[in-house]
Amino acid sequence: MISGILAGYCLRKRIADSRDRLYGVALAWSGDAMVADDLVQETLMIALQRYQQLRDQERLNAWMYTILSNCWKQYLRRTRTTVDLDEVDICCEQDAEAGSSELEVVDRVRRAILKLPLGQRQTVTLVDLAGFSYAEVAEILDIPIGTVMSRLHTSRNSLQKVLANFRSQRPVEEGYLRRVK
Amino acid sequence: MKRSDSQLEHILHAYVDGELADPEKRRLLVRMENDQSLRQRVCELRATKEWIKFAFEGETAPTRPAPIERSPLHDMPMLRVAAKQWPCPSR
Repeated sequence: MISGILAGYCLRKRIADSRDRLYGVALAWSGDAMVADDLVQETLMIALQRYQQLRDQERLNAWMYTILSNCWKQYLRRTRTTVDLDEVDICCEQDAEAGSSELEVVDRVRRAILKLPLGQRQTVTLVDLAGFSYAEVAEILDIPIGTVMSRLHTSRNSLQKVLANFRSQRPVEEGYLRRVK
Repeated sequence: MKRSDSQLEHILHAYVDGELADPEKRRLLVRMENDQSLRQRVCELRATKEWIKFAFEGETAPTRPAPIERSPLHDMPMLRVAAKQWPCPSR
């Protein structure tokens, strides 16, 4: 009995510790820091209430993202997305010392992700940001693996075009290495 | 895009995502050795993947108290102390 209680303690701790990882993905989906924070808080609350229903603890991570996805769907139903994504002030907390080009690209990538259709946005961030396998993403979003693959294909192509445009707009910068005479 | 091109694209995405089985991966590696455009495409896909990760990675959620939960340890102070020292497997 004691080991059961302690195992439950560990599971709750893992749930609480996943806040930042969930937040990154919630931010990529919503583009709004406050919405992302609320989504994560709601996800954690549901997970902490229902963790005893989880039969296979190996699936904890995927299970939590399934809850996050459901919370996100509910949020969209409630708000019916009246927010114009072009007006969303996208958070950008990279190191200011890192130089403007890095910030510019990060900003462009974020905006490009937010302009993707919802399904593509969820799929590409679950694979590239959260590191899930295709099978796990299919399970989390309740879609066939073929759909995961085609969404990845389309979304990455769109993002590549954004990056390619960015490269062509910027002048070629001088390299760090100089010829030594 | 032709059907075969589209299939090849799917294979390349699966390759950068680590989703290819060994025999398929081996076949693709051999093909890439002889085709610079394939190598170039893989490079682009990897860079895109990295940018997506980099654009949002490292974001930290605003500090908030954890949602209130009624833990079975709540009424067992001794066990609560033991739990803090319990080696939880990290994942």
